[in-house]
Amino acid sequence: MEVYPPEYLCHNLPLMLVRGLTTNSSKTSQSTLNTSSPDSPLGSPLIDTSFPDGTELFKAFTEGGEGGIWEGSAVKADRKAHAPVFRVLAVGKDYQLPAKKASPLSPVSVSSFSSSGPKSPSSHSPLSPFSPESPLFPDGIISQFWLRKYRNSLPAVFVSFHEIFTESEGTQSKSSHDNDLIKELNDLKRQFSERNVKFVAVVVSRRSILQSIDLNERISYLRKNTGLDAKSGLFSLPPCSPLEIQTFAKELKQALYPIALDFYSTLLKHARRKRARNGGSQYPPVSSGHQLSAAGWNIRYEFKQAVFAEFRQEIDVAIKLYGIAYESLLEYFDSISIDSPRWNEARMILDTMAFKILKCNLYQCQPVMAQKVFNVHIESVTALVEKKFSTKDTYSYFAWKAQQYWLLAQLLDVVPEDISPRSVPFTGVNTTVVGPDFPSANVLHHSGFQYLGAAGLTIERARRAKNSVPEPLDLYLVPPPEQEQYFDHSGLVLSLLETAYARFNKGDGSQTRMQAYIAHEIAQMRFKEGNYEDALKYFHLSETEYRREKWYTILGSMISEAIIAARKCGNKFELVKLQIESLSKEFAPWNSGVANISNFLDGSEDASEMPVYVVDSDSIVSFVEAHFAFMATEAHLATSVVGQLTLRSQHTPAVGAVRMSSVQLNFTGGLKPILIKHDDTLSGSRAQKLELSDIAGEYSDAKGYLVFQPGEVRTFEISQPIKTLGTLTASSLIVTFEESSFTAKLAVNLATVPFDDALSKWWTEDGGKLYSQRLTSSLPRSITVIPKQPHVDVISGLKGPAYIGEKLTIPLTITSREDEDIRLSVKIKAQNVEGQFNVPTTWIGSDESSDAIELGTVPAFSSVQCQFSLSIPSDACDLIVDVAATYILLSEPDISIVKSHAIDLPVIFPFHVSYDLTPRIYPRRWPSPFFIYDLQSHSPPITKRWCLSAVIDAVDLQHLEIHDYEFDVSNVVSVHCNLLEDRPKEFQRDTSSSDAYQHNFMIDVTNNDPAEKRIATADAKLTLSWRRTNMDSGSEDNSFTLPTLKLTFPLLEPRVLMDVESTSSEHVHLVYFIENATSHLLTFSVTLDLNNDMSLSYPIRHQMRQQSYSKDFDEQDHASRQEKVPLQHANFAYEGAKQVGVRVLPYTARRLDYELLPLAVTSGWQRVPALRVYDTHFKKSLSVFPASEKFRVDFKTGAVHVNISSTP
Amino acid sequence: MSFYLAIVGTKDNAVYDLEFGTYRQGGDGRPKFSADMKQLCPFIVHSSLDIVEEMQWNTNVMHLKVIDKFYNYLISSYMTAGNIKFLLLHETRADDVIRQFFVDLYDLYVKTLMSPFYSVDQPITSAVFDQRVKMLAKKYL
Repeated sequence: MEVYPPEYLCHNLPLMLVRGLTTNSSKTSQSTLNTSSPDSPLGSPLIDTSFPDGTELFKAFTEGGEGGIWEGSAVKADRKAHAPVFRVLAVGKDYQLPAKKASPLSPVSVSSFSSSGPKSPSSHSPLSPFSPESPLFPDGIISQFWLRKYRNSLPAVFVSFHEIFTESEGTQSKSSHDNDLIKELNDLKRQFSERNVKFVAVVVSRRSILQSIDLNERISYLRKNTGLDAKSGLFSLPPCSPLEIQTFAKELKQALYPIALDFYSTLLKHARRKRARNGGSQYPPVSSGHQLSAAGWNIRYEFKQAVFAEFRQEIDVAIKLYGIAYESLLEYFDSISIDSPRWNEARMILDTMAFKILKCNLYQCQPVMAQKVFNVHIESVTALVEKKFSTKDTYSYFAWKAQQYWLLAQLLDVVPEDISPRSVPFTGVNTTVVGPDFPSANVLHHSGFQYLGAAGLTIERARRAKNSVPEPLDLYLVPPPEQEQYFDHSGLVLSLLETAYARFNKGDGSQTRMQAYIAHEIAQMRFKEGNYEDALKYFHLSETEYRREKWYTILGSMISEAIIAARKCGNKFELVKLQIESLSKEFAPWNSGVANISNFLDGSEDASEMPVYVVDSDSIVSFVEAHFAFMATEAHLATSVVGQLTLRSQHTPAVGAVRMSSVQLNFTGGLKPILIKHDDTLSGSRAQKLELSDIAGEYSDAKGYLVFQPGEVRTFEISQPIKTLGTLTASSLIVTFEESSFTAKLAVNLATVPFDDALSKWWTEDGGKLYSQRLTSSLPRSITVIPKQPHVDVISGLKGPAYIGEKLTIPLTITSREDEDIRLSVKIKAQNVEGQFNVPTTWIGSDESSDAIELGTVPAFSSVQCQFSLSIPSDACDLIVDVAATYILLSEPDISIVKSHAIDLPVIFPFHVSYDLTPRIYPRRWPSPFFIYDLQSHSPPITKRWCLSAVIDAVDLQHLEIHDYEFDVSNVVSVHCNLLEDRPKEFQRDTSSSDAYQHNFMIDVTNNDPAEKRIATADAKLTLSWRRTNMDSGSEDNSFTLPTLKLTFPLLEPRVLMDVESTSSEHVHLVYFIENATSHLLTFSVTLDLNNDMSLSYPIRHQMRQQSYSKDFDEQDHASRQEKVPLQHANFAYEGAKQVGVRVLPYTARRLDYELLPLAVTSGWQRVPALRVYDTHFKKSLSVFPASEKFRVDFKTGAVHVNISSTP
Repeated sequence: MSFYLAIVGTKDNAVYDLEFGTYRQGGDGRPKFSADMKQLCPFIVHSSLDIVEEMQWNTNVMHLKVIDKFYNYLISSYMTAGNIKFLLLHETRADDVIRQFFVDLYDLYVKTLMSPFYSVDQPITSAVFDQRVKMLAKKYL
């Protein structure tokens, strides 16, 4: 790439020159065209280094474009989204515009432009082929100096920084300075406008507008007198922050970008006009008689047009124009003599144009087109060379071709990956562009392939350089033959290959085989030039891949070369490692001179040092094959495990027998390494049982015969007692070769040894021959060591479930079935089944708070007992108690044996209670309404009696005993509650259900609220004290509080209560009370109905079955009662009013008596006739409540029954 | 003209390789590789596995045709259903003939695979196989 001038390869960006900023950057314009520069005093002070924003400003301006080989951001089509990119260079005081015309011959300084004389019509640019001082004179097409002029010295925009004088407040001095500045700006503006360059002045002030009030006025004055407008002519920049400076630079660039593009479009039009006027035909012939032909002029202007289109970033136009120029130039070669210096110039322009077209195609994201351009260029030039020199088989042709690949490679290095993707080396057979001989000929490959191509072509070049040179010889880009002899071809190839390797090796695991191939190429080149260190390094990089894929064809020859390299550079470790690898029989066909192990180091070692080289068998193709298997997959602790190590040596027959000094077998999981040392006396058997000695040392020593013939299998059987629980695995093997001057160790990792069907067997020897049988285990080198079987039984003394809130004691009986004494300890852990919480446990009889208890020595075949208690949580859940009885046999104190026992413990409620609230007759009269009891109250204190009957049942009632209870009514609202204390201390069993407890609580409810309330509420709470009766060791007292019962008492509602005063077989005396607790006079129609229909019956709804703890339980209760009531039809005669109107006064109860005479039956439960009480005013029937336990109610039909025989 | 054939196993390991020459145009069936090229053939064939790896997913045909070009040698490839790759290094393009060669080679390979004493990826050492491949080469190439 260095052979091409950078101007030819770099991307062209609009040029902006910045004057007046002193910077420490090296980005300054080199206007080499005009060397002599008379220092022109420009009058105004330039911004010096003390100006703080100078560097910052310059940095802001140069951000973006570098004008390098790839400017991806500059060519983005959408100008609004992307900031315009300029090539920005700084110039100093001495900057001069490049001379426009060659005459007058003296260069022109900016300041002296005004004094330039009248232009001569025949004058030409100093770079024109017409100017005698031009390098192109007389028949050159174009030179890089022309491009350099537009890239470096002739700007599209010239930005000049000036400082406005703000130091003094004096109007006089300010105005004098301002006038100087105006003069200077006018001068500059005029000079640049002559060359059509946009001149922009930036006036910088050291003070802000607040500090210098007349600043705006002065700026306007400057603008007015210089004719520079505010939008794109004269800008003012007060002191500001770096961010503001950046914004300023960006906005300035945005404002100037269209102007810059116009500059280049004017030039483009100019070139096009000249092209249209058909080049140089109008110019007079020069004196030499030799001049550029019209076709040459055409190419010159076509090239210029293309360059200006590139400056304008019109990539598609540039492609077209470069293409036209390229084709014209290709034809023009016919008229160039191959001896002429113009030949090389034209070749370079051709290469440049091809490169530009290729690059422009990449800018447009068309890699296939780019590759096509490249192919066409190669083909065209090849045809040209063949035509002109009659052969292309010369070093110069290959040098040029290599150069093209190299150029492309370097371009692809900077092209973003989305345009030239690296991940896919070839687009595959489905590519739409199919080349002539190869489907992916037009697919652009990543730069690694290009570097590789360049390297290959350079090798070709080197080969041709040695051949005799044909005449004439193309010397484009190459030195003459006598110098070419001394050219460092191999150095160039190596650097290209190493770059190619780096490009392939991107670390993503793809294209590894190409990497291996290139590494091998580099290694071989290094090897040939005698750089053995590097050769070895690259051999190593290459070998890994071939080793992994087992391409022994390749690996065999590589290893023999690598051995030589290792020996030459004295790398003894590599030498030993590679020679061990070369012993493998896989390499026998390619490795003739294999050394025996003892000769690995040629005896050059100092015997006293005895170095040790440890080689990992995973990193080489190892000739030692190993396999280890345990006979069983499981073993009990303290028993012996039997395992077998199988070794096979697959070394090449060329070295005869191989003798190993020792083999060390390592285990993980509780077995010491076993070291098998070679012993010549044990040569008899190939399947050997090892006798292990030195049990106490670091290794278990054994002796075995370790001499192997090629392909020979030997097995070594071990038998060792195992004393650690868990998994025992044979992990690795270290094979040692002790030689006279060194020791080599080969480490074999048994985990990574591939499965070998022929070797992974269990081997037995019979009659001198080895026989194998298949192994059943999938992982034979591991064995699971499980604990010994326990011989004790654990029995829990708990019967039934646990009850919530209980303090439970569980006795354990542990029986030993061992035939000798044991030492026993028991550990318990109680938790819920889900394992969310633990339940605290305590051992009874032990002071220790730990969860384990030592039970001491237990004789053979005997039992021991212990008990523990645990506090059952107060929620229903399922507990599990794990009991672990751990013991040791006194004869084997090292090995502990565990017996586990789990006790399932469901936690349930001990009792279920159902309540019944029924009314009772208050035995005393209600107080008179005419007496004032309380001045606050309007009504007398009416008392009503209620009976709350509780039926208590349990799942396991016969084993539970209730010995005390607490009953309390609290949270009473509106009334006064009085509990009648005539209760027995112990609960009575229910008469009807012998399993359940039953008890009635009598509550007198007295209205004491001054306001008339319809209902009153209260909370009833029952707490039971209970104990288990089925525990042998007795039970602790527990208490169980039933959930609070909400009671509701109706206060005002009139009600009818029914009682029986006396019954016998002859008569039944029924009493009805109609209560009126209101302050109203109520009238009822009362009828006694002897019919058996169900028109009026016991109101189930009004029966206050307020609470049942369990619904199911409650229904069972009903069902059992129904069965026990023999339903019979009543058949009575009676005495009393059949139908009567009754008036009940406020706050009174009216009593009605009926005498019933049974007609047919004289005993048993008889249905009582129904009394209808009808409120005539409110048109409503009242319910009749049985207010005594002497009645039984059929809950299904609502019928009330009385026992006529049981009552005396 | 000379050829280099490699059969590559499922783990990209070389199962079989053979150098041979053409019998056409008065050839005697012996390879005429230069010393350098003789050494380079396995390298070139091996490195083209990179491309086979990329291309095998882009097509549903077994014969991938010419997949790589190296020092003016072409490499044709054939993928069997069992992920065995046949790679042939040759000098001129002759897709149809090479396809027929590969198809018959596949037939030979499958017969080898059916042998109870042969397992996948094991190097093929049978002299009969070798002889038959040479006969195929004589027939087609």
